[in-house]
Amino acid sequence: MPPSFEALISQNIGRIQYIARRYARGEDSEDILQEILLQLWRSYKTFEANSSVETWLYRVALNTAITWVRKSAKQKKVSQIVQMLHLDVSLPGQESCQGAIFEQFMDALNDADANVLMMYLDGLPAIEIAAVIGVSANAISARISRLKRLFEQTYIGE
Amino acid sequence: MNFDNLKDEWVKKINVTSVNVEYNLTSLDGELKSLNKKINNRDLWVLFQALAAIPFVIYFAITHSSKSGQELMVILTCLFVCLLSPCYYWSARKPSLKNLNSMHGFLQSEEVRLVKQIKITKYSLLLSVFGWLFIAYSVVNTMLSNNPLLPLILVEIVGYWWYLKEMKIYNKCKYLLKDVTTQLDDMKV
Repeated sequence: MPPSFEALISQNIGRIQYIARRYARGEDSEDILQEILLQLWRSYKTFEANSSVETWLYRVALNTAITWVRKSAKQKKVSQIVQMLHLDVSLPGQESCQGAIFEQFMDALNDADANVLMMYLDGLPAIEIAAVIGVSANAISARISRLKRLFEQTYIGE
Repeated sequence: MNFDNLKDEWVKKINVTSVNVEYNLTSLDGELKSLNKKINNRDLWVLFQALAAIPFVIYFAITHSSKSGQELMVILTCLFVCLLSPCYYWSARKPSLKNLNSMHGFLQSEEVRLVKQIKITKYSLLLSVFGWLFIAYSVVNTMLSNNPLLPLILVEIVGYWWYLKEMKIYNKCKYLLKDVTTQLDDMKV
């Protein structure tokens, strides 16, 4: 039996907010958040707990965010600007705390890599990440290995 | 910091206390936002049509001193569009959402709003039927008497093409209302 919708949202609001902020900033991210909540609400009725809550949530949230960004040319421009800003601030070594490193690393990644990393850090197995992203589990494993190498090269040194 | 430490950071990020989740749930209003955007666009069209019809009323009033039945019909039609469109425009104004501090309050407001929206859309569908009749009449009239109605016809065609989208809005409202009503019923249980 899946949890009630409100409980589910309460438990996962952090994830959803992060995804929304990942794709836009300010009011735009609130719009995405709204859209994600709406789609979750709609698809909640068909969610039968065949997959884990996280997998379902990521699938709906990422698809909604990506669709939202694609639909709006304006958002696309904003997204590009945000990406440029990310590039500007993603120089390693300027911040020392772990939270800042995390942000820098995530910001420097493209959306596909960041999405995979989010799910990986959330403990989803490669096969479930693959189901959300739509590629093979092997490709996910390879991508995670590459991300690990990238992180180590950037922040730990070769 | 190594790669595995990222997990700790991620957990910190997502473990935000649910800041006013009730408020966030009101973001289900997002669907209504897109709906209202469409409605606003539609309202602008109605207003545009009303304004576009005014010069034709003046034109016919000035140039046709002895009015035949046909010409009178055209004038009356234009007047009808002129007068009704603003009325419709104002009547279609959305009720504001109230009582947003709880999920239940939100859904109640939504229910009220959707019921009103459905009524309004029915009205605009009626208006669109009239619009198509007017187009048919104008086309025939133009062909028979070579009246300079073509610009008005074009305006009306574009305008009432837009009205066809009304049906979509209507269906969307009904769908949403069903959702909202179900949610409210669930809460009562």
